[in-house]
Amino acid sequence: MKGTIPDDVDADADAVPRKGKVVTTKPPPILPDELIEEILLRIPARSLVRLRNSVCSSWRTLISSSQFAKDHLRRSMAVDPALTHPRIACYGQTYLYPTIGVFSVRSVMGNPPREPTKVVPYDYEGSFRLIIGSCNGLMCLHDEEGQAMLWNPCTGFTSQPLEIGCLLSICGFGYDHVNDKYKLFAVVKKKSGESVSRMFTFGPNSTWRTIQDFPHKLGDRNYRGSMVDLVGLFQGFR
Amino acid sequence: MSGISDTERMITLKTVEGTLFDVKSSIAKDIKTVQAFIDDSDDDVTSPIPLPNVFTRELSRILDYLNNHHRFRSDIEKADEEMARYDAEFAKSMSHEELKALILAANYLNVKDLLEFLNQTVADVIQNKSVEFVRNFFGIENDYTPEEEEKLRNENEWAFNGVEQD
Repeated sequence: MKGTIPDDVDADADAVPRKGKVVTTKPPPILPDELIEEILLRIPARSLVRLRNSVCSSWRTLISSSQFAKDHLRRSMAVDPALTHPRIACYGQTYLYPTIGVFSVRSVMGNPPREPTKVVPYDYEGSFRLIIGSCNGLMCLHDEEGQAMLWNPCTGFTSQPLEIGCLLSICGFGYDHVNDKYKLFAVVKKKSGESVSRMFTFGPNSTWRTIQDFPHKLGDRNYRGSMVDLVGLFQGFR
Repeated sequence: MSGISDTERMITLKTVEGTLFDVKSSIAKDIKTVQAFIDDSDDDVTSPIPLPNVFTRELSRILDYLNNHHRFRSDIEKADEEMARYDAEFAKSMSHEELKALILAANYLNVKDLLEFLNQTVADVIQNKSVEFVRNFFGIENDYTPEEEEKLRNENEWAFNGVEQD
């Protein structure tokens, strides 16, 4: 086949091979890393989870990197704008039937509904959990044992729990663009019973620091807050 | 350069094997590496342009793809439907080795639309396949020890549901 006129070239096509001679044998095609990355960016998140941990260590490093996650998110949203449509996350307020689920707003609004309502449930055993907030498709949850964790409804992954203690009031969950970290602000009760304001940082080495002089009154449970985008500031309101 | 296709300027491309292909300059525009060569030569290209990394089989496929896409675009009414059908056939006509070889050629020649299409084709092929299939496809060596592999597998066993037969 090599060096001859291939059968699949139409006689009337614009390109006509004029002569040929055999010079080289083809090496087996090996795709370089940058092309493999381009291909992986086109694979849905759920399939990526399976490939990330099992193919080889360099894939694990690549797919786990925050740059890859960002590129993947950007690409997925460009290809499927429905990903950016708002979603509703709900949880059951009962200790007997603790449930958390996420579903698309479009599936319940509109007449007739534009897509079937598909609830992505949070599978877990044990204690009651509530939703603190969400950011970039991640949900921040808190359980009665005083732990907070991140849940990705798309891949089903839950992060290592972060010990934060008993929540008193004012929680804000958000993304710190400067440090590329997810953070949680909360007023928590220490073992001594004293309340303290802390900023928790999620990650392999979770940390927290105490925020001094945060204006709150002990026992005032009516604060709710959220991280303000871009500046990473926290706002509290009654 | 004339707008009439019969008299349109032709560019000659030369593959690794030495095969020569005559290509319309409007098609050559979509092959960015070739176009860059032409631009650098102040449009004064008379001898064949050598493509030291591109084999005859791949160049002939790329030109086939570009010629057909140019044709579809000139007929707006049926363009999308016909192009989709052509693309599906085009992807199906190749073995995995041929698909990879074509990606390398499209990447070297910088044919953006085709490269995009081929990358998506590979993503569709591998996304629900077994890990062994994926390693095989890319020629990747498994550098995990059996113990590490077992541990990682247990960590996300649920993700292995719904894997297709290779």
